[in-house]
Amino acid sequence: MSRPVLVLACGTPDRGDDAAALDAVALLDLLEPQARGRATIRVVGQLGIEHLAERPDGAAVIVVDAAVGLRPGTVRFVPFAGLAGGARSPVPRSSHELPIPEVVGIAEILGGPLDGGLLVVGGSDFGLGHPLSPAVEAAIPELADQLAHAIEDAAGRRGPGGTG
Amino acid sequence: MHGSGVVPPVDGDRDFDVPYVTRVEGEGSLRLKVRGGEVTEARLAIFEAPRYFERLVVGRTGDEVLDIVARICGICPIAYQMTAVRAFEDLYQVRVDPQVGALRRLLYAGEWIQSHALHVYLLHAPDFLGYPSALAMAADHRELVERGLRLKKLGNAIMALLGGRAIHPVSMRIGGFSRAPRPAELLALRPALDQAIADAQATVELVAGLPTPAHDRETLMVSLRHPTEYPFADGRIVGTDGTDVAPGAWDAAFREEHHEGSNALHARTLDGRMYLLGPSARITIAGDQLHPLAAEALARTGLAGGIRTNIYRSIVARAVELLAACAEARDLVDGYGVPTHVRVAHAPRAGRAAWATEAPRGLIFHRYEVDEAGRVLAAQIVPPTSQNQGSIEADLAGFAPSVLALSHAEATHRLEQLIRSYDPCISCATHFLDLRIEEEAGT
Repeated sequence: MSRPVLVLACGTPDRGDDAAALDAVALLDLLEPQARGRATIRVVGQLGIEHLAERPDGAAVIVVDAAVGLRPGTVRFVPFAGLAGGARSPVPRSSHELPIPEVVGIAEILGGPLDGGLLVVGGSDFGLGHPLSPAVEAAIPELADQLAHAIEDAAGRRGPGGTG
Repeated sequence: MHGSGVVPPVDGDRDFDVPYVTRVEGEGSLRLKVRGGEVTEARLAIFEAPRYFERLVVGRTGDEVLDIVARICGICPIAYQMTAVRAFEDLYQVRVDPQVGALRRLLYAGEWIQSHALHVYLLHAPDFLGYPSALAMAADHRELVERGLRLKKLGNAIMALLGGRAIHPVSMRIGGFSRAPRPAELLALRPALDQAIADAQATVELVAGLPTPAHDRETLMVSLRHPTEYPFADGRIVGTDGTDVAPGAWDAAFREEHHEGSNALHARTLDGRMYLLGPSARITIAGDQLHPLAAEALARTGLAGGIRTNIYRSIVARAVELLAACAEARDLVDGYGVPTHVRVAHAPRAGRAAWATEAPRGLIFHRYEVDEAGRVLAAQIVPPTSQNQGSIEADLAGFAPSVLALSHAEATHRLEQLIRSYDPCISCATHFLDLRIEEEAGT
């Protein structure tokens, strides 16, 4: 039996590249129904501690988001392991409620080790009412593809509790 | 704890530059220059790109404005919606159903609960308990983080139920709501509200006992004041200097002005004075209207005077308001009946739509010039943080001399803590993540 996977898609549909995760999830429905069927997908505006802390028992979590600091359209997967305090940590400049490493770290204190990671695409235009930037629009299929792979990988892995 | 560099001479030159002030909403930086022991420059620069919302609403109708201004902020969208809806309803002479009024008060209480819980427990408490971050604090004080998250979750649940969703809510309409909840939906919140009141009472006790830097000063405070209730969206704009104007007449007593280095407009009284908004001001001006449970908790702290004179005590004011919002929310749930008229009709008319309400961080003012068809010709949106900015900088300049003998790291931390005492919200609603991965060669 495969392991539960929770996908947290962060963003809003009306702020340019901020919609990237939502579009990738929609594309996953169309192109990767098998991977889609293995995951519970929640759309969240801003990632909160509670979204991670209240994950289903034994579930791996994949957070999909747009980011700055990456070349627009570049897709990267950053495992949670070592995120808090790590050299590759996101700079605490986000207007999430707390910087992502803190959100992840606190969620781990409250709910145990997190398996999974951040799947991000570099964005450039977050203006209200703007469409996706061309670079991010072109990257949505890759983002969806990598999300499908991340779901399949996570579903096939044993969790920290060995319940996989 | 917060660094221990070489201690420079007290009367030396010091520069404090914090390029990104953390644990505040949005992007701002701190710059403080000290020359010969004197503060020569104190600036909280806000450099988030201006978002031109005042232009975006031009040509839009009132209901469209509600959907647009809710996107100004992901933390306090209700404040923007509530201020706009009251402005248009005042112009159109709309009288909403009393139960709609109660639901709106409950909705605003929900926003106060989530915002205050977030700030007290995750943004500000680490300063007082000696931790560099909420993460470090959580490792030692798991129960505090759990309590804060319980409270915040309740606030989000209220906003999601009444607003349609917790972030950028959609149900507020001119004349009422697009939908009213069933009584059973509200009663489902009751157990969480009982728990929240106990949690909020414990919060007041906790923060009242925190070690607090000494920084007493007198300052002009401004908030709404209502004769029979603690101010959310009703009352007159009142100052501790005797200012007293209608909620739509903010610009009869205050004005905005540009300041170099900031994308946000500052605000002053018409005669150029800075002023303070927010929980400390509200308790000073309207504390006699607090819910009895909150008034009792405030009295037990013995800190009503400290709240008035020391901005670091704003965490106590915020905790008292957290309790007030939870207690009032429970009363509103208990007294709820489905509105007879969930939404009443309105007829647009030309004129000036203006109102002020109390966002978690303080007074917020909107003004719209509207044509006969109800379309906006011009708009002015004055958020609380831009009004507080002058007061923040004055406090930084006044407080800085007392930290010059500390290590640079400790002094900087104390100054950041002061900024966080104002709970500045300089956020845009976009929540994007600054990742800044260093690419390795060949990858």
